[in-house]
Amino acid sequence: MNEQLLNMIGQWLEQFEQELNTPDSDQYSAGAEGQSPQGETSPHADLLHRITRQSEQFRHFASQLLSLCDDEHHIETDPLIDCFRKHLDQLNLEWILSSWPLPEQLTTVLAIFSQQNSTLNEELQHVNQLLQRLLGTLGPHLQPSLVQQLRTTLEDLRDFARSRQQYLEHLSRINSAALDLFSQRLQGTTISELEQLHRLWIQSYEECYQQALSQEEYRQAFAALCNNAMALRQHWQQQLDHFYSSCGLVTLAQYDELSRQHHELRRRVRVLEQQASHQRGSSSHFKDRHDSNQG
Amino acid sequence: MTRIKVDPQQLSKQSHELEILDQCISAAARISYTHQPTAHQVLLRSGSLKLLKFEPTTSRKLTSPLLICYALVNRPWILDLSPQRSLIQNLLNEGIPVYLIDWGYPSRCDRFLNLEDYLTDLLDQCVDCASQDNNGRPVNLMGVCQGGVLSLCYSLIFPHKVRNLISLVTPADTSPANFTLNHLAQEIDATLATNTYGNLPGKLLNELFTALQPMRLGLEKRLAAGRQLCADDETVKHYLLMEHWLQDCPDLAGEALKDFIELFFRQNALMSEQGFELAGRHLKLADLRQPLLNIYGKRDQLVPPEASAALKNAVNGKDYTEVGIDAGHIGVLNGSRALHTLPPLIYNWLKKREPQ
Repeated sequence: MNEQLLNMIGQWLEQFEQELNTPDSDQYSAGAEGQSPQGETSPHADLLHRITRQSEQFRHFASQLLSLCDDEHHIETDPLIDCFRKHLDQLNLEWILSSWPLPEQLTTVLAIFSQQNSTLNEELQHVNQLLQRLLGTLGPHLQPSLVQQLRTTLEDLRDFARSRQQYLEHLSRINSAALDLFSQRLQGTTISELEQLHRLWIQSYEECYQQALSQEEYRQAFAALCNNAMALRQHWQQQLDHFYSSCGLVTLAQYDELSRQHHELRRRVRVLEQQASHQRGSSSHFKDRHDSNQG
Repeated sequence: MTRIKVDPQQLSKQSHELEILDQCISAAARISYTHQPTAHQVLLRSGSLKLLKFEPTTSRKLTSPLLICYALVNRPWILDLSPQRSLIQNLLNEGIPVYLIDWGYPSRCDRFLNLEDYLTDLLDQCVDCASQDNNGRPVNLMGVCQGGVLSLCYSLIFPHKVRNLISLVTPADTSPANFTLNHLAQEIDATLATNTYGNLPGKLLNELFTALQPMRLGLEKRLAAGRQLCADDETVKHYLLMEHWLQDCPDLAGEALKDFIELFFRQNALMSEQGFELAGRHLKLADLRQPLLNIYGKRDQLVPPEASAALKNAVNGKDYTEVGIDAGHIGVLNGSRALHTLPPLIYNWLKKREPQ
């Protein structure tokens, strides 16, 4: 554990040093040189990684289509749509997971308890049960404030899982509507390119999606997902702050409070500078008038 | 049950092409695509902000400088992507002295920077600096996207410091039914967002943009990637630079974002006939004094043309010129058609309004 911690600190210092050594004059173009100033993963590598994964998915999809072909080079619509639905569900799920991640520490907990072939929903349920058991066993022996925090986390996790499920259901309904439209448009066409198939799909999907976007229900589901993901993260951070504080460490909330005070001071300085500048202007105006009267 | 005809030869060929794509991706990973900005000097630094100065490549043809106020979202180097694709370079070729505000990357301690700070402190410093560098002449202010909204507000607060105003793909009216970004953001709790993250992470913002057209901006774009990455080196470089720019999304200072959402998304303040309160002043678009050149993309999905063109009625019959470019949001800033059309158009419009 200690060794792991030392390694982490070592890596962090190394990264910090690299950032310090980055010449400031390069910052305008730094974003385009394969390294963001925050030292995040190179977008170049990330992009190529995503395209590689996509090309694997597409190759898999192409081979599935070929296997569905009969001797006369036809595919029956239902298996084709089924195959396409699976292909798209995978893309959808990846999108949701990458868009609204859990707080990093919770993701680590999930990774520890994830079982092979279990869905993220099942994993969430698993962690939820675990926290509930923990609360039941340790509850009577813990400080009331800690018990309350654990309860809040449990509620947040439930809200997050519920809103994510509701949002996925919306997406699933859009998928179904889009697939209906897609299969109608497929009639009478010959598939010679995967791109052609996907273009038709994109057109059908965007039509249905834009329709859903105009509905209040969809917007609320989207906002609920965003708000619940943020609430979960915020409460988690508050718990971390509480923990850091009890260890005598500076918390993020304390750091923010210092930043707020710093900004207040900066604003006051600005106002004072403006007042001083006006006074200088006024006094030179009076001096000029005085001089001209005497002259 | 219906049956769909398939061309298995073509499909097999494509499957094979996907294998070749893997090799192209490996090759693309080795291509260097360093951003080469047009020569400039840094005139001012304040926190993460920098003001960049670009000298015209021909004899200077305008007395007042052009100050570009970019959005707080994304990075300004889309205006100077490469020597071949640079709006800034083309403006310099017209003899226009250009200054560019690079807002930089706000850090956690900048979370309390609000809209008033951006306008009356940071933007004001840049305007004063560019003006002083030009013998105290007022600037021509060009705002891009959200920067257009900032520029409109700034011109109302400090009318004597701005000679002419140019708005590019600016969301002035956020009420149109097809302004999806506003509708999608309506129910999101901006206070919770700033309390949670401090500054809103750029990555999240990118996801929100993608959520406007998930298949078109996700799947379709990635489908085209294969072909782009298998093309010649120049095409690959351009593609990678564009992709890199798209992902180079700075975090947004929390308080400023909250102010922006409340004023311009929730209240649609710029369109309010009664006006709105900002930076301790009462502002009204009808009071705008400066001539306004309003440029928008006819195919813009992010800021629909109606959202920009609404400025016409709001400025109430003043010196107003409107130009729709046949391009999308990014196309107006970096598309070959816009790069060809905009610089002479901007030059001629400004030249006509030069002091005699």
